[in-house]
Amino acid sequence: MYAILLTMNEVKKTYRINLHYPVAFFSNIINNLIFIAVILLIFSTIFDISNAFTAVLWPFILAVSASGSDSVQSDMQLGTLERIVGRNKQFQQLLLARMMASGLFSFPLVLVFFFLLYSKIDSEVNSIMGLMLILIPLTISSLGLGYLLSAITLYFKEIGSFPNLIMMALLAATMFDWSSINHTFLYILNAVLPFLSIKSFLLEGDKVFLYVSYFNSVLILLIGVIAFNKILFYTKKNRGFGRY
Amino acid sequence: MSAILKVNKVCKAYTDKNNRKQVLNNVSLEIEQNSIMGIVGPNGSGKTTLLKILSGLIAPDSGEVIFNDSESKTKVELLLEGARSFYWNLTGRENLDYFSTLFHISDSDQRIQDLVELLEMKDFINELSGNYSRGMQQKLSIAISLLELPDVLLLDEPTNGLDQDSIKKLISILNDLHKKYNLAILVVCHDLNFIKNFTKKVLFVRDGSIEKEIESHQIELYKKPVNLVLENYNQKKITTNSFRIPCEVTGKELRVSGDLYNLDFYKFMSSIDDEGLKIKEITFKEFDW
Repeated sequence: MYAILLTMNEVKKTYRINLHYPVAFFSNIINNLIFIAVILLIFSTIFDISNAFTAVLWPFILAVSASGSDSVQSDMQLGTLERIVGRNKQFQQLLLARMMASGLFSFPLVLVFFFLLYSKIDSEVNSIMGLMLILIPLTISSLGLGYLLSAITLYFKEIGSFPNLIMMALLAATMFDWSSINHTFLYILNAVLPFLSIKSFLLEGDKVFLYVSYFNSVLILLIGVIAFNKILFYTKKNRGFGRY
Repeated sequence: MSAILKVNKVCKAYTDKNNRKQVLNNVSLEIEQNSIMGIVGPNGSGKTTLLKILSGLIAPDSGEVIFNDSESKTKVELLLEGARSFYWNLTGRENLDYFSTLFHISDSDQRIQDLVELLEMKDFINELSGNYSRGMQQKLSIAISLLELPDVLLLDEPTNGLDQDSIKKLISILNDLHKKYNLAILVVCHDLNFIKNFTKKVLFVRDGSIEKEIESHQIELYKKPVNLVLENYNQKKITTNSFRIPCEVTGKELRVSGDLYNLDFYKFMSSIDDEGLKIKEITFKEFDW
């Protein structure tokens, strides 16, 4: 219950900030739309539809994964992180709420593009249930990555656009055509690299890839949460949560 | 009076690349219920680190922080230096609303209303907090800290950037809060006037250790700078050069000036009796801050 309350609190905060700064809000939406439309156009004409579909999910993945580290970084600069960590013992839960809130804001875009591609997808995903089937591991992986990037931010304090770089690298790795490589290695890659198994499932329709994506997302979440807790403990033991 | 927070032999060092700096060295202190205590000391003496350890933001290397009663843990709230620690792109009320949900405050609307009235924030509470003056920002920071009533309120340099009128108002507000909610308050401040007027006891921290504890009215003795005229100066017995402080010798009279935050001057003052010098005249210059 508290987790839902926290998420709604973050949604309300973001909504209020958007109300105060409407130009920034609308230009962000338009930017995102253009970004997705271009990617969609490129991938659907040059590559296959599964790549295009993964690409349109990317803003959602990016919103969830990067929002955790973004919030840690901006809170550190504002000084609010010390207030939050000092009082709120469930910082991990708050971070989850922030990532979920960010995901909720970008979800409508995902839905719009999902319906645009709806008829073109020739796999089990061409239904709302199908979308949910891949959204679950996708969200879990994004949360795990979010925790991992937040841990890196806590440790290095100032990481600039590092989260975006990582996400771009992951996008490239997901879009890359791995079909020429050895099959065993491909399964290992699918099990280890986030999001790749989801694309493989969309591409080949093989349910094994779907199961692998669930395994992979839980693995990433576990790694993310453990790393985040370790760094949180380390930060408390050392310099603290201030900017410097 | 019983102690609600005890610090027992706390040590803390910061390591930066290959440098290790001992910031706190075997610090022990007790914060009593409903007390107002000040901490003064030079920059880098470990005051803020001590506050952060008390609030749980930093873990000590050794030693312990003991919260008195076993039934409910003492709630400690730290208000760090300056006007940070809230969201500048939200209004004051939106900030209070956000933090009250975050801290899980029940009946938050009433609580926010009470605080807005108590801290006289009505006129600006619905404005964007990024546009606030330092005094307004300080009030909002305090209001957020008091959303969930703490047992101990820790304040780090609360007078920074405030003019004399605002400091007077701040003292009055903090006194009201102290009386109304029985808060124990521990304040770190360089403003000795504020310390004298607001606190009851003062701890002197130097080089990571608590050097002494005095009553706050005695803070007058530690005003800076101090001008001294000393008699019985014997150049053969004591050389002024060894203390590295500005001085002027006229026969058997020695004129020195300095401030007690200066370690050399402090050492010199401590040795006056041992060296057989007598204070002929002592003057404290007015505060220059």
